[in-house]
Amino acid sequence: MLLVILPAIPLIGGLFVLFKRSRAINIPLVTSAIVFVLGGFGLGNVFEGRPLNFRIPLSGPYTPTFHADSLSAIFVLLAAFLWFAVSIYAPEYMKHEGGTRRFEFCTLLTLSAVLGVFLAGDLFTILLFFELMTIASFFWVIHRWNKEAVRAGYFYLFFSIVGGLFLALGIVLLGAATEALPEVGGGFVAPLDSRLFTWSVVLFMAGFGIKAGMAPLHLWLPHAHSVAPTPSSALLSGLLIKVGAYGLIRVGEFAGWGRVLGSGMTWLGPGLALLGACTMLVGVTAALLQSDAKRLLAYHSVSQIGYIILGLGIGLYLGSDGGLGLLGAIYHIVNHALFKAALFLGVGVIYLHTKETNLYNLGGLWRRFPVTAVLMFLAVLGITGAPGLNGYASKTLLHHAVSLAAETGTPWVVWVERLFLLVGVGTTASFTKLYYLIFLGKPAKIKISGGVSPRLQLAMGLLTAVMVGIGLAPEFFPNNVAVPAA
Amino acid sequence: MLALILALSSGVVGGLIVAVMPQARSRLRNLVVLVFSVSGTIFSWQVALMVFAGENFRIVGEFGGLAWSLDPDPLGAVFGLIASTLWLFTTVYSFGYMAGKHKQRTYYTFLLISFSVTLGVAFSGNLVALYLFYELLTFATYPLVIHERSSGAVKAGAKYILYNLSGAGALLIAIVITYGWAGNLDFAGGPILANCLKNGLNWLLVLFTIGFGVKAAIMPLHRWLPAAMVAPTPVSALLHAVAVVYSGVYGILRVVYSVFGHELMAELSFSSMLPLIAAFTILVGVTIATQQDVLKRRLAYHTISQLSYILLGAFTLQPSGLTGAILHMISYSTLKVTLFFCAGIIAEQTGEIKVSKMGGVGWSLPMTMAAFGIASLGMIGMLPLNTFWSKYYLMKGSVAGGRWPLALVLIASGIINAVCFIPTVVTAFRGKSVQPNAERGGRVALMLAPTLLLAAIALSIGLWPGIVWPGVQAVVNWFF
Repeated sequence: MLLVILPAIPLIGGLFVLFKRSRAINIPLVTSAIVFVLGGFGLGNVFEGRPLNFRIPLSGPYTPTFHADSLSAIFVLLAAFLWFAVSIYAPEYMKHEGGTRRFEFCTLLTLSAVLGVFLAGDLFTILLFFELMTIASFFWVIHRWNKEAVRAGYFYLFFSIVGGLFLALGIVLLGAATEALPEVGGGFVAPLDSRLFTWSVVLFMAGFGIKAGMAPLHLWLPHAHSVAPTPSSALLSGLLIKVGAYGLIRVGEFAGWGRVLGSGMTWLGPGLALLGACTMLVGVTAALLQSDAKRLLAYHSVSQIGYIILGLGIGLYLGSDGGLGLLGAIYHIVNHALFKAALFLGVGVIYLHTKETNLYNLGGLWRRFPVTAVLMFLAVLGITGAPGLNGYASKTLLHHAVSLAAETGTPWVVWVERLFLLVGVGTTASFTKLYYLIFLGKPAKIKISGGVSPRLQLAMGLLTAVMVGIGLAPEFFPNNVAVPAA
Repeated sequence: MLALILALSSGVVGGLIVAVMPQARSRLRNLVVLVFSVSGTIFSWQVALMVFAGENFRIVGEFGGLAWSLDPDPLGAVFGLIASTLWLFTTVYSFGYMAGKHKQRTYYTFLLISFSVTLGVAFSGNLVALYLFYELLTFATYPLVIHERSSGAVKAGAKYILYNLSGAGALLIAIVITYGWAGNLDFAGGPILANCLKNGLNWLLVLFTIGFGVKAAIMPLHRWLPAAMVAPTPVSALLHAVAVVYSGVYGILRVVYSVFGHELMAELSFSSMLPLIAAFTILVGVTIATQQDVLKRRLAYHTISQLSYILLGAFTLQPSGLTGAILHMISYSTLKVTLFFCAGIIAEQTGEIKVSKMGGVGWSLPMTMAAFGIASLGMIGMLPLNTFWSKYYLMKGSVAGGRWPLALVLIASGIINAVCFIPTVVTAFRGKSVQPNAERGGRVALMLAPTLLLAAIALSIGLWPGIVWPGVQAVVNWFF
């Protein structure tokens, strides 16, 4: 029952926003806090290997089922926490941006849909919430309703619709290839018809890959993430693309985590790994060329999702030794959500007070925004994988997985490992540029308004605190949380 | 039995009463129309539910030496249900739309008579009855097509009659041949031509396809449909998106499953061409739709495309394909009527009929455009709308029949549908509109309420397809 209540809470919150919004209570904040607390208590057991299931017994061809195992729980709690932090930030920011009420409504609907995806127990339910998430988040992208936003919105919506159609066909083929449609979290599925099974997995990868921002299906991402209001960008990059990654992990489960893959599926691991590597490279290369801070961050989201997909691919490739890859990927999902959100929020603070996101028009802002500068610095350390922060832990794990695979000597893996290091260097270079151009260097000749509201800093601080915490105790997450999931 | 007679006669009796009532007493007339629509709907539901429960009714008679029979089976029951329910919605919508317009008496008379005739098509038990009611439908709906009495309307009416009568000719020949080869024309008791081994079966199939294909708007027999859009919007919504075109679709379903039977169809070479014809219509229809500026013409070409979804499902000759076809009959009709109703509200309240001029309309008609948006998502075939399920089963049927490229056609069509509708919805909310709020008033309420209710029903079926599942299963089990 909890599994239905959790997605329902933000929905109820959304109705409140629509009809009875009062300035006193920050409804999204309260809602996400409730979800986090309830989720934490209710889902605690699943980490000990006791998944929760729930069915709504409707007649007919579709019975909605819900399922929570440790993977779902990680994502649910991550989503709730991220929404919580961004909800501290959003009201202040949206006061300047405008359209707060519909923004909050969409935010809550998106949270509801996202939770639904993570807690879905069968493929139809995942698809249902996936489509609801597309519709709700579309309004984030198009929020400003100017020409740029509408263009980005169309891009986003069309890619997502195509993704949904691919997933639908994938389900059709999967149903034709197996006896019964597999349940989410049900583990390995032995197909009756391996050709259809292979095609269905390809379609699933394409469908979820579009959402994740996997190259070459990522083209919508930089526009959508840069045109949305900053709190939305933080959530889009921080969590919504991870929904795609979540789907990929679940599909990997059907294909067989931790086993030597069957005859039709040996291409899945290398395929994903190579796509991940391409994504990493494409993302970081494009990022290096950007002058707009938000687009730069968006391209880095593409690149970092590449890391995650690479981890998943290597995990599948290594078969029973693949736990490290999967672990690294899940760990990186959590870490990237934290630092990418913090980075976006920081850029948002700058934008709020200077109305500028063009890096070449900024500079020397550490004097005016010291707290933001420090917090952003921590986030930059995180994403570049500097020791002492969370990014180091997950990137090292991923690198270990890749090295393990490279020990086999297969040429493509060796190149992937080299690419890994190259992209790391590129990421560091890009963020050095970002940080220098915004905060260091010659002070910019632009109008800077007002002082920074403490709420904005609090939100960023919350995220960076967790990042530092993970960085100082990196074993906590894998040992207690992620290993059971993998 | 009584239910069947009452269902069929409600429309005719009501229509005749309205025809003799004085023009001026519009409120009484509306009441009469409502009473007889409701009565027709209630009795159709009763008939349908009894048929699903396994009961049998038969009414036989003679007409000029030919024996006709009324014998509803699950397929007829489903069609009857769809038609009668949507007739009720359209009647209420008409009260709003037609208020203050001319020739209302003629309109309601023929609206009600067409209701009966459509149910006659649905509940027919043999090819003679089907043919009689099918041709009667052309004439019963003609006054509705030419309602405006403008030169465009009269020309459209002429095209309507011409196309339909040509189809009728082909149909008559086909029925005569069938009778000659099989000796009976009844739908009950297995496919008519099941044990027939004549050489000309392929040509017979071609004749039947042409005969019913006019109303089913199979390309290239579709050209009467965009022209018929000169009719008042409720007519376009109901007749030319549901009742008349569904009669054609129903006819094709009868040909495939009751005349030839799916086993015989699998052996005919022409029947392997049929999915290709349907696929062509699907893709070309929606592509032409995307280029239309007049909203009703856009919806007309889109109808042509969507009807072939149903035909595609039927042509797969698979249980899952037929499931998809019946599901689509139900799902698509709710959404298409919603879209037409929205077009009508927009035209009435803002005077706009062209999509390019509809910028900002969403701000004066928010609920209308919301319904339009929901229906658009349905046309793409997205959850949480009901058309997802029909599309899912259509794809399943394509794969099961070994013709997986048809599934790709459906995916491509979904994408083109998105291009067709999404920009309209988005532009409706950009920019300012001329009128602040045009959704107030009793007249609009009569138009808006059915629209919103239909969208809500579509969402409900989408989330809980089990609502319509018993009927769908009954049809599939009847033929397989």
